[in-house]
Amino acid sequence: MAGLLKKALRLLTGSDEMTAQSFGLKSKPSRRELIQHESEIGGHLFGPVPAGHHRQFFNLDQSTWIWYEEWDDESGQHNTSTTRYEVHDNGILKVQEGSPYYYIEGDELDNIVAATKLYYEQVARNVYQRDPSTGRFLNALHP
Amino acid sequence: MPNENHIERLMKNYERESPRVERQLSYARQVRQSWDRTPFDQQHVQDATVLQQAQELVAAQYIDEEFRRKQQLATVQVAGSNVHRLRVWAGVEPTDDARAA
Repeated sequence: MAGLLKKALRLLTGSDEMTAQSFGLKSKPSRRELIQHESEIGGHLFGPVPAGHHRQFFNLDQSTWIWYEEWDDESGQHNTSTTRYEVHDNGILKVQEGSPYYYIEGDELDNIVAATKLYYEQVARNVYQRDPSTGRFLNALHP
Repeated sequence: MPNENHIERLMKNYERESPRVERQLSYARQVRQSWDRTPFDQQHVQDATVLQQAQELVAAQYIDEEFRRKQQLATVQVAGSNVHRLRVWAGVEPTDDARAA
């Protein structure tokens, strides 16, 4: 079924990537719906998601990025983890419940920087169907 | 080892970017100026040169790290603004002007 859907999508759009239509968006989706679709794309920017995990990474507002992950551990217990990355003028503050807040550095900072850049590029194309460089619609069907 | 132009560029950036760096460069300049005023023996000159080079290298490293960090921060800020703009275009978020009003 997924293969069929992919083929149909490719025929319709020339691409089997996720698009607004592939998410079943209405003509005027809500903010919440758009962020939900963005977050699914964002969840895959940090590499493969481990089996049994569900990961979302999304932009909440101009200066806040959220990482959400949920999984069942070996004892069957359901776990969730939410991390907020706040963009301040002096750095990116990592806020996680039960942990000390700190400004990220090194690999963690490199990863967030790369992920936010990719996030914009991918959601521009696949959710909003716009060229990330120009902001223009990718599809000639749009005005 | 950075070349002379590189050092010069970094020094200019340094002066603009950081008072801490400015203090270091000021000290390096004092050392350099003192060569003209004081009859240093060869060892002193060598020491001063080594000191200045060391300070310039530290300055260069500091600037590069600072620049890289600022560039990284700017990248994340721009990404956030760009996503916001997409949502504004999609009509699900108000423009900044509308928000301010």
